[in-house]
Amino acid sequence: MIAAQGPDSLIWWDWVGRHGDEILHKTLEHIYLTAVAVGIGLILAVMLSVCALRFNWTRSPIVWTSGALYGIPSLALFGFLVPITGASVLTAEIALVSYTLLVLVQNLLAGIEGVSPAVRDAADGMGYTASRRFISIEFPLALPQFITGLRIATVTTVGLVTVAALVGHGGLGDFINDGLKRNFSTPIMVGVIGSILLAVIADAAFVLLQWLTTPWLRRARR
Amino acid sequence: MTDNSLSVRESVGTAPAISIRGVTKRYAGATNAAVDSLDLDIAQGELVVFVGPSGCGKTTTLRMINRLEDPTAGSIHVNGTDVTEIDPAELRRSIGYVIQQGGLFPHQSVATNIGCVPRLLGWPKARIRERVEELIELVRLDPDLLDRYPSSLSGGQQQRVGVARALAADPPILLMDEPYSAVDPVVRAELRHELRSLQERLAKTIVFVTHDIDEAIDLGDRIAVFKTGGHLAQYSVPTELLARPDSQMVEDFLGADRTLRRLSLLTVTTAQLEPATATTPPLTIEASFSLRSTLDALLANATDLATVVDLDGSVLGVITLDAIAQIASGDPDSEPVRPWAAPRRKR
Repeated sequence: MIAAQGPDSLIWWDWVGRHGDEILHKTLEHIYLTAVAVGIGLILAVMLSVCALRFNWTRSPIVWTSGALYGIPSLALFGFLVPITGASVLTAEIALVSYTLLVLVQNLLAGIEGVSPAVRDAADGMGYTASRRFISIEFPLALPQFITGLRIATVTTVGLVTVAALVGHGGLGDFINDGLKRNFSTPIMVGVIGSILLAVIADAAFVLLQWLTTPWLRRARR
Repeated sequence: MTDNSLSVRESVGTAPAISIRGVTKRYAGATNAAVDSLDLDIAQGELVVFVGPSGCGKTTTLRMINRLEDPTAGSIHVNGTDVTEIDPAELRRSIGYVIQQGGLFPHQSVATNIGCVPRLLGWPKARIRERVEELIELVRLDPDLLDRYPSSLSGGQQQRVGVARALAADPPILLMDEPYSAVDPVVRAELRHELRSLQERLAKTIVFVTHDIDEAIDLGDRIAVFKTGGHLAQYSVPTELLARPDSQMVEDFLGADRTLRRLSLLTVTTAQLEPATATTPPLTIEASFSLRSTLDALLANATDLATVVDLDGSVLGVITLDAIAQIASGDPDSEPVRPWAAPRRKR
């Protein structure tokens, strides 16, 4: 057996075979951590953006704060949170959500503010109320840009989840952490390749979602 | 729905459709008023064109009618109701609004765009669909376009959709803000022609903003010439405006060939015709010709006489260069005429 796969091999396939259940479990945890972070980030970002658009004076503080959160190095943030919330899923999610906010808020705001003034003027002139205009005109038109934000946030989060291994909830990152500790390359490769695959699949899924939600951009112009 | 107690539909006798009284609009931070103490009445069923150089307040005035802007001072009444007493969204649903390229919603199909005001008013789906089909016919568009998105339509088609959308809930008033400025001259002339004939049939009150004096003369029952600073320079029917501009500014704005333009608005029968004699001139002119076309024909044939005939060929009389000259030099009260349209409604 050892002859078949030398000790220098990057991946010991029989190790992968023996840890199939664990790999599946960690992959699901990875997806779960990402989905929760992006989901909560999305809800917060919509609320914050509506607030920024409705009350203009809140716009700068909102963009500034989400920018500052994005700027904190992830290691420092985990180090800061652990004494407060412990090495928990909550700690991991607080950090992950903070990193999604800037991209989501900025893309949603840019999308809404990019709606042509003529379209907004026409909506007002037709008798749309402000809230109805937002829901049926501005938001759908901002969707392509917003989904671009979701794509970036999701792909970034898939990568960041591996760092949450430091607080014991890192999905596939736990393999990387384990491999580094034991100086054993196989789990490192499993963690790295798995996380890259997830990022690529998520990216493709959002491209599809964008295509599905924006039929008006699909047709070729005459 | 629109039969709300505060709706603009409640017309009061023959009062003006729109009455603007002492209206001033001053934007925050601006030293000069955009519109300055403006008084203007717009009669029911008239097509009034606001024309003037940029920054003259014509668009601002239009936008105050459906409360996209509110006046700093003065009042605007629509069919007898002060607009400030009506909820802005409610008011706007009862007034048609058309802007450049129609301002169509790019993410909605043509049908959804046209049905937007009825949807806001809560009409049942079947009724909206029926109305949309009616409208697409009214603006002469192919029903196959209903499921397309605006970006796949030509400029002229988009503009027609914009008009259909504005007419969807059958509003008595239509506001049009430089609607044709993004389409080419040929399509533009076609759209103007269609708007005219649409108005002949529907008898809407239309306020139309343009910076193009030719468009104003071509379209307007009445023309309001604005001058910089938000003042009304002159408010008259086109033939009178062309015959008697009451300031240098208006005269300059009308351009050098205003006499010829006025002749193009009058038919040959508005001139004093000589009785036909046994030897009628060989050149014949149809009664629907404008005086300008008649003049052109006379000059081209190097003659000063032509026989005027009606549609079935019977002779009405003889037109002379002198008779045209007489009209050109005076008589602004002659009835304006549009060669393409059915006889105008009497007002």
